[in-house]
Amino acid sequence: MALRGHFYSTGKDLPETDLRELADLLATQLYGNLERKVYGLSRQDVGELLTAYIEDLQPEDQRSVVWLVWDLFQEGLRIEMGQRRRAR
Amino acid sequence: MSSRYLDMVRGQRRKSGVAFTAKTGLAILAVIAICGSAAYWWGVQNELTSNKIVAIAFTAIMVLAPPSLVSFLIPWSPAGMLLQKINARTWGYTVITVAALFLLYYSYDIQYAWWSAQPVVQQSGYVLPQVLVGIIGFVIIPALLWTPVTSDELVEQVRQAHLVKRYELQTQADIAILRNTLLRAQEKALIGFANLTVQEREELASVMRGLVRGIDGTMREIATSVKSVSGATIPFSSLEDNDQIKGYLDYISEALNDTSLMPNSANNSAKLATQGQSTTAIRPTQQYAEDRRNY
Repeated sequence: MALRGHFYSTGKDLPETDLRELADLLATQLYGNLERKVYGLSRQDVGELLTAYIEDLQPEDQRSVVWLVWDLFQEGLRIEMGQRRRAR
Repeated sequence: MSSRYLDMVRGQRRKSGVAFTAKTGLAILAVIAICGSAAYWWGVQNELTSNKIVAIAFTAIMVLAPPSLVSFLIPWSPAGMLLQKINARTWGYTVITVAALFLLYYSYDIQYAWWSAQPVVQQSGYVLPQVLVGIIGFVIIPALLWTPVTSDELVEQVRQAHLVKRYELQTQADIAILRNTLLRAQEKALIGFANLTVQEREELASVMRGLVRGIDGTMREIATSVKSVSGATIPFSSLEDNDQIKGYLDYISEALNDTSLMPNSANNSAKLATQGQSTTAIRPTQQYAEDRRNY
């Protein structure tokens, strides 16, 4: 059984740090292109937009990256909404 | 195994070498400002006490503590903002906020007095701008460059937050699935369960309750595992405590058990009692007899 560690993995999976770095990079790129529209993307939409960048990864890693990117957008949305509410 | 895209980006970063960005400039400025701050606070603290050790300790406190405490209050990245949001719920964060505000006030007060004692600044009315420049240089700029935790700790804390969020999402999804299942059962109870025997109905009702209890058990296990991995306490609320779910369960249980086929059921007795009363009231012969007695 393959083990995924913080910095290394015994199988073909990406280590966690790489997974997060990749997710951060892709999230920044998508936000750079679409700006606030990213908040409206579903996980499937995010998956479709990222396919070209993550198709060489293991299926589990692909799902994880999509989830992390989508989650980061949701977090961003929550922070922005909170800021707007406070501004009012 | 690695990602082609990630390797490409890393390669580009390596090729571009060390770039002199605004952040690098700010870092150099921060080092100079900290040295200046040490010289300034040493001068002040040395005047306040003749004890050199106390003066050194207070200088170290005033040079290092305000920027490091303020750095907790100024998030510099999305992950930092997320971390700040998580930490904001802890007592430690409140203590940091109060301590940082007090040290800022102390720094402001001492600098104000110091600049007021400088004749040129006093005459030109530049005391406040000088104090603000001092606070920005001594506190804010170093604070902006210091991250409150190492990137490993940050990753770990964000990972924990994700774990907790995954649990929340799973709970929500499970509740939605369960609600749907119970609604379907409710529909079927109205249509087809009339053909079941009494024992079958009782069995079905207990199966439904068992299903909810089973999901509750799974949720509790997930909550415990998340707690043991992340150390974060997750309040577990039982599904059976959820008003809507309880309503569905009670309805199904009633629909299955309290039917006319079970004469001892509470509903049935109540129904029989009402029927009994109403029958007595509308019996025509009795009514006629009472009328005659009155005449």
